[in-house]
Amino acid sequence: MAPYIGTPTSRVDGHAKVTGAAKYAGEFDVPGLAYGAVVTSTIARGRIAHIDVSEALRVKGVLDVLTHENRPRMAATGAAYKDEVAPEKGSPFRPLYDDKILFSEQPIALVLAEEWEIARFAAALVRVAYKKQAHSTDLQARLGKAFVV
Amino acid sequence: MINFQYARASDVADAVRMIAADPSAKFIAGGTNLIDLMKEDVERPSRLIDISRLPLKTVEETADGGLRIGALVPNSDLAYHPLVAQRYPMLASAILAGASQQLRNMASTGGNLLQRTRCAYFYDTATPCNKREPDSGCSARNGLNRMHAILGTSESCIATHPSDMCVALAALDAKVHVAGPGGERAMAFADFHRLPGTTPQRDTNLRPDEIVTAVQLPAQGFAKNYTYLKIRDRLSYAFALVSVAAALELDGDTIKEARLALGGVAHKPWRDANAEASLRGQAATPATFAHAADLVLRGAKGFAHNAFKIDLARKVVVRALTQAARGTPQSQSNKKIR
Amino acid sequence: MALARKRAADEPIQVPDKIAVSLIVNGVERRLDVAPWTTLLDALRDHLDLTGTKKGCDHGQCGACTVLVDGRRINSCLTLAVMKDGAKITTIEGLATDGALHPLQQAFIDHDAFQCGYCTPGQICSAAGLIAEGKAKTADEIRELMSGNICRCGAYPNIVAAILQAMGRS
Repeated sequence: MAPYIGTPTSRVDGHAKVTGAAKYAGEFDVPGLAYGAVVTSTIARGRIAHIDVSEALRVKGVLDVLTHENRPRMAATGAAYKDEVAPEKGSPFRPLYDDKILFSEQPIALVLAEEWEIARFAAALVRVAYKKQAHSTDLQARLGKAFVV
Repeated sequence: MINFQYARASDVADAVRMIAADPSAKFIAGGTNLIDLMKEDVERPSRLIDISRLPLKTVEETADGGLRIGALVPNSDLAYHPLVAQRYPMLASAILAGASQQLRNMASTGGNLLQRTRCAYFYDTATPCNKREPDSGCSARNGLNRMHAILGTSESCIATHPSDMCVALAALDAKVHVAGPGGERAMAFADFHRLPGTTPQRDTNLRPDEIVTAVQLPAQGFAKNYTYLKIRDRLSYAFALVSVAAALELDGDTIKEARLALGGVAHKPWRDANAEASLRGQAATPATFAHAADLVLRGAKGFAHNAFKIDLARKVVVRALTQAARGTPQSQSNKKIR
Repeated sequence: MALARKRAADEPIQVPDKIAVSLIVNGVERRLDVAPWTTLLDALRDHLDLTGTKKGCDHGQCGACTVLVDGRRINSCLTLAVMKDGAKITTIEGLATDGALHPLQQAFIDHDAFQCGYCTPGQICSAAGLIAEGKAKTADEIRELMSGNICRCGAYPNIVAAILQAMGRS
């Protein structure tokens, strides 16, 4: 232990990182790998009134489009997501959970395709109608509504 | 990004033929702005005509002592070209003040002229933008407009032209050579870019079926007394809040000729004939410079987040003229402003 | 999860045809079929499995995608693979020769010029381009001419030191 404190030491991952050998998420190729593109909300608060993925589904190479309407089953209550660092009150963010928009650019659909550019292209074909609500980005103004921990 | 066709032009005439045949096609050279805009679905050309291999890559001296720069000369090559460094150092300085070296290696002379505004609302297809979609509205006027224009704005648009190179070209009175189905023509640099007016969707006076072939510089390069001073939020790699290209020809302490162009403040590089006239024949003093600055900024109009630019621009004009007069141009690597 | 909800009756929306392209990557000719909309970056990472070059911003702002094309450093995310047909491309994977690290790679290790390492391939390729350009002599000039490469971990002082070492100027 003592000889290492204060001594410059090369990182064990140094060689891999400077040669490009180090692999990061998204760099593991497997057979049948699919690619995703996220569609995000253009409003900051409100609801999805209608989401139409029919045109996106028609794109050659698209495998599926996930929205709140057809997503896999998720735990219904926030209790399932609690851990030591989760806040006592409030609920966790569950992507594609329902039609509620909570913030600008919230993910509202995931396009799955055989190639990345196809997923991105099809994502632009997802049509969304919103019921827009007024939003606030003024923290000070909303301080009275904050959770007190 | 749209599903587009890709084709290569074999020569200038071929390029003109291809673009004339397809109004929804676009030329691609360096691609540093166009591909960015295509990824955002702001630009949606049905076809890209690759002109990157056309023989428009030379820098040549002209008979009148000027310089003719091919439209495909990369920005970095132009900045480091011995004739530019020696005779038009203000142009070299302005180019090096912009973007990054990677981008300068890719970007072409023609593309730098034709690059589009970086207004965040222009980029965001979910917001109204008269430049992107005529008559949809201008989100910047009552939105976040810190980077936007203070001169030459209209009810329709307050965007700025982002180029540094163009500010120097404006100050140098460059000419833009273009070719179209009808033949070749040359435009004064001041006539190339437009003010927004009621047609902000048109950035330039280049016709849809024309291609920029060269930029030509006159003989006078102001190599002795010049500066390109760029003020921005970071020391490097950021667009200008305000930038000034200032060039003087001095006879002792008297200004014989003056050029002043501002970037970051308008839809095109901004020159003011009255301000330049006010400098000619005067002594190169702080008072002279301050008077010219006041003339340039007369009529400047600020918006909620960019009114600071008016006083900033005044100061940058004075500082730039001072640097030019002293023969101490701003260094683009040592950032201290002396 | 229910996949393939496409209805057979609907007319498919076409995607681009692929074009045959030849890229000389790290000295080896690689032939690939790519759609026009595939960037050089995605061609390298997804089609040639050369994942050393990184996608940081995909918009030419971070420099993580920097590679050398015909000896010059560029942002590979802002050019199309089809446009670089026939070009000589050097990626981070091509800098070491016969197992020996390039002086820049060694210098980055010697000066601890990285933490997470994600910007590192772009930094090194960019620095290789910078050295070939021969314009930067001082630390100020290195900083300015490396301004197209950002490092969220903040290893900048060590990156500059590494480049100075590789230039023989430390």
